[in-house]
Amino acid sequence: MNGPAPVVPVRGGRFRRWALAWVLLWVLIPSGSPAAGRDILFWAPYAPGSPEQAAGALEEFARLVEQAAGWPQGSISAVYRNKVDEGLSALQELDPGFVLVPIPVHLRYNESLGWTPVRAAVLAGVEAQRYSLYGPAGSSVDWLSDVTIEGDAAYDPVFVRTLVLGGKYPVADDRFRPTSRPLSAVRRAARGEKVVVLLDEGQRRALASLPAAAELVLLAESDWMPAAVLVSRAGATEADVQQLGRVLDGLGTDPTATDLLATLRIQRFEAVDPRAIKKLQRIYSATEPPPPQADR
Amino acid sequence: MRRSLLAWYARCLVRRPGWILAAGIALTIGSLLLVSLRLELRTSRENLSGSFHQAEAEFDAFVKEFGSPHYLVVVVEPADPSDPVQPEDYRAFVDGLAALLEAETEYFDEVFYRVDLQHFLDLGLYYADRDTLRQAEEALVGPDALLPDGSRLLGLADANRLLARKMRRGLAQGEPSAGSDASLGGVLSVLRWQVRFLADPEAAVAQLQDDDPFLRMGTSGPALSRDGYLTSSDGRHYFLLAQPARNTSSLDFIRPLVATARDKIAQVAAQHPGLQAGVTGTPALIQEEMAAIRRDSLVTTVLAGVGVMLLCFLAFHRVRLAPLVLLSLAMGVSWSAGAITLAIGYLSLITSSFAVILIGLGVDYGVHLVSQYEIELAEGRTVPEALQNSIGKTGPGLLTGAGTTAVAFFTIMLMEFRGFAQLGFVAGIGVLLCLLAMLTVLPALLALDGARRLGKPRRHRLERGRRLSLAILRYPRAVVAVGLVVTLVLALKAREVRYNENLEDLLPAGAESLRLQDSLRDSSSLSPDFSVILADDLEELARLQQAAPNAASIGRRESLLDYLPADAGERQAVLARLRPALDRVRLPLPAAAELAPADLDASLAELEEVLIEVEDLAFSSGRAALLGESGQGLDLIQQARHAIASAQPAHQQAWKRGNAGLLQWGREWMERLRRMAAEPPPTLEDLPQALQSRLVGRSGRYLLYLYPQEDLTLPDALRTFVADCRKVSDAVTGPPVLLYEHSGQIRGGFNQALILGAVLALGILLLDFRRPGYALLAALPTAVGLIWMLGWMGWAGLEFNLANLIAVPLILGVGIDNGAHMMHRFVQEGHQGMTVVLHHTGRAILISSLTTMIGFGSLALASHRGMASMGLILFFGVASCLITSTLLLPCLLRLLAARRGAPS
Repeated sequence: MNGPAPVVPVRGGRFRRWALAWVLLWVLIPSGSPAAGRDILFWAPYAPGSPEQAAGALEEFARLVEQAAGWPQGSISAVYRNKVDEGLSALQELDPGFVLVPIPVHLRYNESLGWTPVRAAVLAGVEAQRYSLYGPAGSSVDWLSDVTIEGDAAYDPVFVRTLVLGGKYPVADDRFRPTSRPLSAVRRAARGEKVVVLLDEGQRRALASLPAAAELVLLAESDWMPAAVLVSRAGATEADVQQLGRVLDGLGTDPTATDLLATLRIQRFEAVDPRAIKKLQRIYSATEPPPPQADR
Repeated sequence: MRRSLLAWYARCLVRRPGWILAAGIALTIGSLLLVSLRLELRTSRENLSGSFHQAEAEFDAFVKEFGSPHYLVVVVEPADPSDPVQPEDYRAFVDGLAALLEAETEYFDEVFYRVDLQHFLDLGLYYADRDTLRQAEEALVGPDALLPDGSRLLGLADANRLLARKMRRGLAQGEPSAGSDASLGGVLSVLRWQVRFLADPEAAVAQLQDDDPFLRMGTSGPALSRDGYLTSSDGRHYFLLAQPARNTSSLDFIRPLVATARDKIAQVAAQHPGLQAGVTGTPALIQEEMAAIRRDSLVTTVLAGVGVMLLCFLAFHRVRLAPLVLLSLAMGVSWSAGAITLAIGYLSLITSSFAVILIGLGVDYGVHLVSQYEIELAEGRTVPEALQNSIGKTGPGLLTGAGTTAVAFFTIMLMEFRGFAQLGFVAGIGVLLCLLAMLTVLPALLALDGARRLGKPRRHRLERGRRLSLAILRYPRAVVAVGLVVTLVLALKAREVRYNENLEDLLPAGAESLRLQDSLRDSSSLSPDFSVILADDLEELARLQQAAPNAASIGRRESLLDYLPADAGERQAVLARLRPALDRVRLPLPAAAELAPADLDASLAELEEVLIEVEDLAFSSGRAALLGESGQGLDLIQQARHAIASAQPAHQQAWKRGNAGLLQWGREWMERLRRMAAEPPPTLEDLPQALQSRLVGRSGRYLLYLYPQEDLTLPDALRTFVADCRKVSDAVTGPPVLLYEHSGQIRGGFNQALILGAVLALGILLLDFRRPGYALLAALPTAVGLIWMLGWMGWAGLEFNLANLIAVPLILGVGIDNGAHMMHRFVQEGHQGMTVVLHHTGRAILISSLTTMIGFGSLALASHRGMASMGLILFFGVASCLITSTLLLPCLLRLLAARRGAPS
């Protein structure tokens, strides 16, 4: 027999054939997606806090997820963007495999960017999301064409017109003023200024504790919907999607994780109801087509 | 064969009644002698439970280490709740009483009423929470210190700016409170104090001097007054805990112990007319419960005796017969007592109720016999004939009924809980001996009595009973239909009946010990409900304490580690870093105190600006609590700024004086902090003796206390608490664990015993009747009667408890008795004799049930709620079985006969 002696005893040529097969399998089947494919972008336009403020908690979140998933340390990162354009840029530049977005953002970009919902996020303090429009006492929805609509979700007029106003009140785009400080709009509306404030469910509940609540009247409200969804993008492998889903499901029962999630204002992750999302998407897309955007 | 044996026996009895009576009397005398010489009454609750569980073994170990945990608690309160009482009056009362009780070494081991707090004042920084220490370090040490080296703290304005800086830094990290607890509580306290200061500077500074956070930090256990006395959270009650010298619930020890305590309280109270005191805790509860039971037993026994006698006089056509039945019963009970003396030798708290049970059940056997005897006489038979016929007709039913009842009781002997197992034996043997007395002594007495004087029967009554029987049997379909509907409705209601484990709910509602126990629970953390785990060393203790907070139902936990911080070394290092910084903090002398209103206003404006940012953040993220707090903060700032803007010169002078007081307080505080920072970590020997004796055992083992988060009397709270405690350690013990174990033993055992008892009873009925249909029909009144009883309980809001569980086998016995008698007579008389069955046997069942209802129902008048509930349940149960056996069963038999084509 020519060549170097085998290091381990072999029976005939079977060992070498198996070894070759293993090597081929090792090379041909990806051992895991590239690290960038597992990154998570938290993108919530006009949400409070800055990316710098959120950095510490997100870093901890990333470490927790990779540890729970059994992924190599430092293999994923999590970043936060709270502006529309910064979020779009981050999609291009960071190329994350996963994005956590509030439902209006999902409805707006889902079709154009080809996202697949992985899990729904239940926010702290509210089991489900609902958006409401409050105007000064004595006002009504007929008043909407003449006022500004302010709130953090006001960055998407289509969402407000379709899902909050039911497509019945065609308020012009230029009447919408997105803001990360809706409390000031609440105060102005309570003083009787021509302002209608768009509140999410947490803000609506917080409103009840303010004296200004007595000076406001509910004009319209959306149906209940998931608050936010974690979606996977084209770069994420199916194995990673499955693994991340399992990890997120387990976070709600781990005391350390729930504490960390609480700092991100998230209560837990749960399975997505695809029919509910489809229904929302149908309403959203029925009257107005989503703005054209290119992902990559 | 049974019938021929009974007939032979009856013939013998009629021939020689005197011999049988003489034998009965001899046996009675023998039994009474035996009872008076050898039968003990054991009032202790120990040894009532059954097999030795781990929790009990651990509890014994705990008692060995720490003595009895069943403290007598003295609660001192104002004589008039509206009167203010000075702390020194309370202190004098408690000190005086403690001295008197400590002298009573026969009864009390240790008296615990005060913790020496000097230790915590000296070493407070070792007990401060980690966040406080971290914040102190952030404020004083390092390049980012909020109060860098050399800063001068001149007063309120500086404090406001410090807060504003701290919050701004927190906001930059995403949380206004810099990540500590996401609450503005600290900021609000400072602002509230500031508003108070601007209104009344002297009072505000005095409040600061009174409120020492280090006193609170050191005592994670019970609420304490400033000088370490155990108090309620509002300071209106002072507590003294006296540890009994023996861990026993024997009344021979408990009664004088409580009496001694009451006597000493009366002595001290005479010198302090503004205060009064009462006792609670396990010894007081036991003593009060037993006193109530004794009182109630006397009253209810007299009522029951008079009621049963009156009923017998009214029911029997010859009034002379009633004393004969009662005399026979008394003999049966005496024989039972003799048998108990031979077999067990003592009566426990549970088995001592056997006489009441036997009176209730035993009299029934005599009623059946006498009732038939009267009918036989009325039908013109001679006394010997009437007696022979009565024994022949009622004997099989009596044997079956008593046999099944005894079997139902004997199955209770299988219970692990020894107290009830003994009751099963006592009641079972008692029922058989009472039956024996009714089949021997009573016929003998009747024979002797009848031979001398034969009165005339009251025929009109018999006729009235016959007419009533006919009326009942005229509408069998309607009666069965109504019965079915009632059963369905009550079955739905029966599902609401629960088992109440709370032993305190058994006591009389107005009991003093109960009122004080509630007050103790509501106003202090001195809960009598605690679990304990023993640890051999500090490592094990630390591991157990780590595991405890994860359980939701566990509220407070306490161990030596609360007083010996595990991170003492780390804290010492922090203190070492703080020390030079503290030395460098400079506070001006009070004489130099200035308070510039404009500067204070500007500092408040700075704080306001930050709070507006916080409010925005809180609203945007939907955090209502934080939003509310920031709104409150802004309101307080408005008030403070308004006070500054509208201040008169006199105010400004007062502020200046107040600021001087504040600086003086601040200088003293800084001095204390510097001293504290220089102290070495606390050791076990440094701890106050009162804490050491509570947390370290006699052999050096350590104790972890676990207190429940919720009131354990709430449904499911006990089960959840014990389950969570067991997650911490299997070796957990303590009053709630033992209560849970014993309740489980009792309930589980009862369920098993009842099922087995019911199966065996059905088996006996099958053997007796040899026809499954008849056996089932005999059992029917019991099954339906039990459903009705549970339904009535549901309507009346009654629950099962430790005291009234025994009612269920009693009802089983009564119901089966009724069913067996009815069916036996039905077998004897056939379909055409249904009126006779109902008239003769139904009458006997009516009388016997009424005697039972009066006997047991009298318990419903007891002040002891356990006894009262048992009386009510038995009343409902016996009444239900009476209706089902005398109305439902005959009508059902009539309907079944009609279906088979039998002539009506």
